[in-house]
Amino acid sequence: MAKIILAIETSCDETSVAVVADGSKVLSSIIASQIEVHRAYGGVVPEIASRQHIENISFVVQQALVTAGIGLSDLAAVAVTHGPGLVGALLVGLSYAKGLAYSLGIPLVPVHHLEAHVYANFLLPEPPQFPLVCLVVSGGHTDIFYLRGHGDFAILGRTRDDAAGEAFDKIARVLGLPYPGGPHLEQLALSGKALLPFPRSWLEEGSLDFSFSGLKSAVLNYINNAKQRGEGFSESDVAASFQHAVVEVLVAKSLAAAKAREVKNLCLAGGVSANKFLRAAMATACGNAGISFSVPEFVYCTDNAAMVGAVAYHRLHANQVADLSLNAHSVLPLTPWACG
Amino acid sequence: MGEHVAILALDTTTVVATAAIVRQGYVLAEVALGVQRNHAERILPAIDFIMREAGLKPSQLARVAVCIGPGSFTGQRIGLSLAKGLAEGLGIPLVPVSTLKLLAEQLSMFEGIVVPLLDAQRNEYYGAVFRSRGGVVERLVADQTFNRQELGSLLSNYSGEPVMLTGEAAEEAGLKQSLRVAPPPWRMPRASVLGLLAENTQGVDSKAVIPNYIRSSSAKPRKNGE
Ligand SMILES: [Zn+2]
Repeated sequence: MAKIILAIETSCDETSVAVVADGSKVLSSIIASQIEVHRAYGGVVPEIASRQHIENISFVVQQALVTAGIGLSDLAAVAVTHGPGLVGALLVGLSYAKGLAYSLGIPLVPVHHLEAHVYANFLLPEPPQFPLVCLVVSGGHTDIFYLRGHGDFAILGRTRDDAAGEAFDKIARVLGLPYPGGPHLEQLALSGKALLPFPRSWLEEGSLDFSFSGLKSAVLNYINNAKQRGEGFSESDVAASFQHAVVEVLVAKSLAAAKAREVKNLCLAGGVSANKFLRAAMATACGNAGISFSVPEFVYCTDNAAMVGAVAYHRLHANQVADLSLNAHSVLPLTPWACG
Repeated sequence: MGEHVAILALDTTTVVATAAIVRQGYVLAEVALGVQRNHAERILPAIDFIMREAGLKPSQLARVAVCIGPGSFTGQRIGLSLAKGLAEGLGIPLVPVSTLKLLAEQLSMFEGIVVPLLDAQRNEYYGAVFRSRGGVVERLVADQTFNRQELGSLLSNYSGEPVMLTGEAAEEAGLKQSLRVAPPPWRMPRASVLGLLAENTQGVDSKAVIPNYIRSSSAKPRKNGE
């Protein structure tokens, strides 16, 4: 019989609930987005996000169950993201999930948000093969993961300053693009030429870490200097050149990681993996290197609960079940949980 | 089997995490923990403890009662989200109760004006006014925020009656106004009283229940181009 898990994700500004069978078949995935609510503030306001979550949560759960065509008695477990993220936001999904699992007498499976992004790749019709390297790139993170099997992973590299998505949002804001900036910057870059010589930060020889603050400053300086001299500049060229610089480093470091670990499977995940230029550049580079490449469907790149349900299936199998005192954490180290 | 009359009550809106099970006018079990900020970790183990002590399974519950504030915004959401999960998992109604109303009900043996006060920061209290007479507690003033001056002038309306302050900000306010303050055990929320209150209150569908914040979020919208 299929193992059906109801998964809840409220780490930032999406109230998301999904019903996932056997960690791979999404029976429903409902996302109540708060983008419109936060737009007036130019970014996510934590208190407002938390308020939206508690208004939405019950209805999103109900909709997920109805869409999946199942009842609560069909559930094998409840899964929930318990960090990292906005604590007040996480606590709504976490507390709800605890109440639901306890009242139904079924296990509660705790899930790490970044791990969930990686596992969005396991929702593909053809999931990636182990061992693999996965680049998780979002507004909060730029990490390279190495996975030998389910729950058996290490982090090979991470950003030392800004996340790639954070740099996208900052440059988009300076260019006067609407919130959320990343997708608008990508759109603007389509009509520009990547000819401006913005710097790429490679860090020391062999490092798989990232740094985007130098690039960000260079772009801001370029814009400010042009404005001070009263000269015009092409906004689309700035967008294209900036995006090119970011993507070049992301692709090169991911491939270097795959080479270093002699891995033939590379995955992309996280909100920025919805960027078509990055997806195409990664696919091309992997093709040239003879590495198979996976990237989640667009709907599973940004925050969603289906990816939480994907991890939870394997965590449940490894008996990674939470006790009643599970708490939410803004910073949460990711520890391997493979069952051997 | 099992008469579905037991009520689970819980509150996490102040520095206390409290839970109780009541049935037909009796308190089967109760805990009250001075947790400060650890509500999320401590409330469900406390509930599990009293459920075991009372010999009940979740499926034997008839209703869940919860305080919805005012109080700590995060605390309000921890308790209400947990209560929603419990109520919706069991398919039973929720009884949402104002924290200030609960604090006033705890002084139903007092005859006179009861003023529950919680610290609202920025030199303000969350407060309300009730009249307790013959064991019946009647609300006179809605839950709201007020500062010390406003509290003083509000209380002057009841100068002929005995007044008692309660709640976690009562001691500090009582000193300033030289008024009687409820003794410590009665000043902090007790889920047993909440549960008993819920026995006489009709439950609602939990899905649309939201916290009683009183205050809006302090964020201000950006101006264009910022
Ligand atoms: Zn994310």
